[in-house]
This record gives sequence, C-alpha cells and structure tokens, in this order.
Amino acid sequence: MLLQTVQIIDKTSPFHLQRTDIYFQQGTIVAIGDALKVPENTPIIDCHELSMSAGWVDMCAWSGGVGYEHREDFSSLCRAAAAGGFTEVLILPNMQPFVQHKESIGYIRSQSQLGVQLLPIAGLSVQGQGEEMTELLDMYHAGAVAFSDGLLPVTNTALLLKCLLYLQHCNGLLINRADEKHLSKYGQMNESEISVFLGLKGIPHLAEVLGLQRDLHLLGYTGGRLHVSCISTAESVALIREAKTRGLAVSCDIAAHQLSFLDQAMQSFDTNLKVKPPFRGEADRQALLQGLVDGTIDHVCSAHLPCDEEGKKLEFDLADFGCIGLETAFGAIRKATATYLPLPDLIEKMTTKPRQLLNLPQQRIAIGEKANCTLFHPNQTWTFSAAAIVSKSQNSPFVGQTLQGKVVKVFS
Amino acid sequence: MNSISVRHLLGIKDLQETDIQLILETADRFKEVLNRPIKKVPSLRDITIANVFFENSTRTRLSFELAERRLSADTLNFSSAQSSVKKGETLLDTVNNILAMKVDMLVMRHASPGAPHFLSKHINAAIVNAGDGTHEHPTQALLDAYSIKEKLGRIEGVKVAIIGDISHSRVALSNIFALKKLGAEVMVCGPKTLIPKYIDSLGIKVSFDVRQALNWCDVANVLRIQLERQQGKNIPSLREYTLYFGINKTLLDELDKEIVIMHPGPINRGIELSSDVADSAHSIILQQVENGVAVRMAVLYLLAEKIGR
Repeated sequence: MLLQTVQIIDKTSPFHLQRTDIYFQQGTIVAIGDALKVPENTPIIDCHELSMSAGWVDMCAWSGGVGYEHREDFSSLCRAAAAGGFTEVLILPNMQPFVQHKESIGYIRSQSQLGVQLLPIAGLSVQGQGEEMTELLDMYHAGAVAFSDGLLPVTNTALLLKCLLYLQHCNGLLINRADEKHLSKYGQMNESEISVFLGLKGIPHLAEVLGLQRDLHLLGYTGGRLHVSCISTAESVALIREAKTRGLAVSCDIAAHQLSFLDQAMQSFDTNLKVKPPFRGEADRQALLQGLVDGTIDHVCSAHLPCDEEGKKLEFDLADFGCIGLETAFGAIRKATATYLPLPDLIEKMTTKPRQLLNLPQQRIAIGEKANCTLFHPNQTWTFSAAAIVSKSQNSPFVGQTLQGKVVKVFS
Repeated sequence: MNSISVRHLLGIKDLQETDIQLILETADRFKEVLNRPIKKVPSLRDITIANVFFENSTRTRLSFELAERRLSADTLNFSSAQSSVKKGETLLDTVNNILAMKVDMLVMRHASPGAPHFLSKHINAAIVNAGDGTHEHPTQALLDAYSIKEKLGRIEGVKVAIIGDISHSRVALSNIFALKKLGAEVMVCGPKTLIPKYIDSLGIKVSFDVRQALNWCDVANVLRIQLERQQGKNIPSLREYTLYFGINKTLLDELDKEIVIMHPGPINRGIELSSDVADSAHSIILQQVENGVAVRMAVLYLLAEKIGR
C-alpha cells in the first residue's frame, strides 16, 4: 500500500512534519520518500490532507469482556478502538471475575484482534476489595502491563503502600484514581453552584485532592512509580506539577472527554453526562489545558466505559457513571486543545509517552519498522452520530456534537 | 385570559415571574370557589390525572387529589408501596403503563432529583412535579408565596428566613427561587452540616444562628428535619438540634416584633418547632394547607389549558 503525500508526525523521525510518501509491504514500512515508485496494482491512498503517527495507546478502557459482554465484548471493543485510532488499549481489571490471576492476563491478550492489541491491567487487590495484594509478579510475567483496581480507587493506605513497594520488583506502574471515597460516595456531579441549583449531591474537589495528596505522600515514602488516572481539578494539576518538580516518579492523565463539558451541562439531567470524575468548572478546564501544554499531564485516555440502556435510561441518581470514549477521544481532545496544544505534542501524549510509562517498545515511522500507525485527518470537523457508533453501547455525550479531527485507519 | 409559559410544572426555576403571578391570581379565584357552598367547578371534567407517588406523602397527595376533584377531573392514584417498582420495573415502564390508560396529566413525587425532567423527555402527558428528591417542590413554594401574600399583603421586600435542614430540602430550593423572583429577601439558617456549600450563589443570605435569623426576618419558614433523606449522620442528635436550632416561644418572646411562622409539614413537634409556637397566633401553618388546594387547582387548571383538547 502506498500513502501519498502524508504528513508524518514523529518527533524522532527526520521526516517529522514533512509531507511525503510511505510504502508498506506485508505490514512493514519499506520506503519513505517523495514520489515513490511502486509496482502496478499497489493500492494508493491520497493523503494530502492527512497525517500519520505511531499507533495510539489508550491507558484506560473498560471492556465487559468477561461477565458484561452485552455492554462491550472484546471484539466490539477492538472495533471501537480501531475506529478511534488506537492500536494498543489497556483493559481495566473490573470484570466478572476480577482480573487477578495470570490466566486472565493471558486470555485478555489472546483476544486482541483487528490490529488492536489488548493489554491487561492486573487487579491490585483480591476481588478489587482493596484489602489483600494479588499475585502481582506472576501477572507481570504473564503479560500485565500495569497494576490497578481500575474503577475502584484504593482506599486502604497500607495496601497501597505495600503495592508501591512490591511492584518495584518488576518496575511496575501502579495506576490509581485519586479519590477520598468518604467525601465522594453519595455525589452525583461536581460540587458547585450548579449542584446546589439542581439539588444533586456534589463530588467535591476536596475528595480528589485529599486522595491525591495521600498517594503522593506514599509515593515519596515508598519510591516506585505511580500513575494517577483521570484527574479533573485545578488543584490536582498543581499538586502533580509540584511533585514532578520534586522528582517523584508520578505521571497522570485526563479523560479525553474531560475538557468538552462543564458542570453547567448537567442542567439537562442527561445521564450520558454522568461520569466519574465529574465535569467540573471553567477554572478546572483551563488548568487542565495548561497542564497538557506544560507537560504536567502525560497522557489523554479514552476512559471508555460502556453502559447499557438499562443503566442510563433512568433517574439521574440511579443511573450508572461513565461514557463510551474510544471513538470520540481524538475528535474531542483535538477540538478542545487545537488552539493551545500543537498537534505533535498531543500525539506524543497518545503514543510515545504512554509507551514510555508502560515500558512498551516505541513505535517509529521508519524504514524497516513493522507498521503500527494511525492515519488521521487532524482538523476535519464532523458530527458524531448514534448510527455510526460501533461500540455495543450507546452512552456517549457527544451524539449530535461536532468534533475536530477524524481517524481514517489504523495500520498494524 | 393569560396562559402559563410552560407545558409542565417541573420546577419554579422554569417559571417566569408573570407565570407565578398568574398562578397566584388564579388561585385567588379558586379560593373563592372553595368557600362556596358548592365547592366544585367543571373545568377539568374531560381530563384524567394520575397521582403517582414514589415516596410517601400525606398532605401533598390529599391536596392534589382534592384539587383535582374540585375541578371535576377523573383521577387515579398510585403509590410505590403497591407498585411494580419494587419488583424491578423502571420508572419509565411504570409511567408508560399508566399513560397507556389514556391519562392526560401526571402528578409525580419521586426521590430522585430530576426524575420529572427525565420523564418529560420521554412522555407526552403534562407533568406536575410534586417533589423530586432534594431538588424542587414547586407547588409548595407557590402555596407558601400565596400564604405570605395573603397574610402580609405583599411579597416584594418581605424578609423570609428558611430555617432547618436546607441540604435535604426541596422546599427550601423552590422557595428560594419563587421568593427571589417575586422580590422577597431570603436567608437560610441551620447547622453548618445541613447547609450546602455554595448556597450563597443563589443570591441569598446565610446564617448559622437562629436568633440572628429570627431577628432579621418577617417570616420564618421552618423546615422539617429530613431524617429519612440523610445519608450519614449530619447532626449528633435530635435533642441537640432542638436545643440549639429549635424554635420555641421563649425565642419568639425575645424579639421586639411579631413574625409569621410557617412550616411545610409534617411537623416534628418539639423538635424544629415547639407546640406552643406551631399552634400560636403567629403560625399560618393550617392556612398554608388550605391554600395548597387552591394553588394546586390553579396549577392544574393552567396546565390543562395548554393541553390540546
């Protein structure tokens, strides 16, 4: 296959930001250069408005895989991931049964398809109950790429301390959500003027901030590597920025949808906007943008969380948290950041950075490399429609919304 | 005749000031009807109204039911204790089953904030919110406003203190919206654990001292401690609440003025309000109940006008 006049986005490549041709043969890049001559009958894609980067990595997706197949099975997840431009997707351990044995790790990896590699996150505690450590090293050797209780923040401080210590045996990355559950457990949305106005219980900033402060203190004490998943407040950006300055091995991400809505949108009581962490205020949005620009925020994840209609077509406080995100991640984050964050910097947060954090091999656009790339239009505006959703679940807040940046195809 | 600007009464926040004035004026006329020997008018004789209560209620349900009968509407009643909700049927299915019996209007009480808003996106019948969790209770706020106006002759400029459990009260929120729209000054007062952070963003005063609130106000609207709606304990005991936040005759006697005492009911006698206050000449609690019927007649009448028939 020949890609003609495609813009290469790869900071390590001599072709970075140049428009040129790329020729693939049997899944390998065999030539890069201007006006390449290729055999007759080679499929050709005109890419004069398109860009290509290494395949994108998502550090936070939930699959119903085992136990909740009706919401998303591995096949539908891979379809959604490929449609969203992802070639590697980390799968949260929150399945039924909980991912806590090496057999589950091997099984999840074996379900990779359509050029999308599924990378399991091993459960940190037995049954996700936050009390006893799972067999972390065994799962590491079976192919777990990170360790977390996923959607369940670890509240047991002693357990978190032990896991941060123990995971240093494999240089493993511990992923946690910052949340002081006692402050957030009844909350339905961001605590703010809007939650008062709507009579809904709030999730205060304080819950995330206190959770994060504790985790950073622990990390300072234990060493090891901590990744904070889905931060949402201005205070969290400041705390992580400061922790990085002190040399702590901490990294973080935001959900791709986080910058697209404010808590004001909840006035519609639309349950597709009910996500955790919740949509916050404008000051938080600005701080998160700044965190992306200055490098405090390392990654943008899809936070893909499919929910069935039975879990969403309900009274607001009874509805499940979460929204699907794989198919809209790039269009949403690109639209929100287009005037602040140069495209190569955004792409770095979806390619090089996560691979570095996860100790995965870096993918390059270079001759001789096996194809692991995403072809996309960086600026095309398009409307996301329910009919186009390939995920098994429909719970997207973006239906009917205009997004910017559209994936064309993944090669891997 | 003017008409109301909304199809449903989901909350006071959706109403224009003119809508509220229209409801209060219409209620005046129905109050006059209620004082006639024959207390019934034929206005809604072609309308069927379902009273759907997913939370316990005595006075609101009875008040709506009586208002509907006084307007000659056909009514049916449903409460969750007898319903399929406990068997796992969704709200939407339950309501659609009721509406399939050709019901025109739905009066609903529900424990979830936004439940009537959710329904309004999925059904055609006109909806009257009879209380949605900790969000709104619009007809209570309307009857409170009506009662204040009846007692004091005006609402504009009146100082109203809402005292008690503000965090768990839909009455507080709807009252704040209604009173502000009508030009009253509003203060909320209660223990700090029962007043939401950011409440002052609604443009009201906040006090944590009952004496201060009583000294400031012309009207004290005393709220029930919503023990059933609290998640986790927010006050150590009812005894302590009564000691430090309860309203009794001694407190009122200390004031150099007379204030009006209101309560949306049901009263926890001897807790937020002592009996000698609840039953005193200051109290308009029973007038509130009486006015509730007229105000609800007005709401149902005005919304029925919007139904194509």
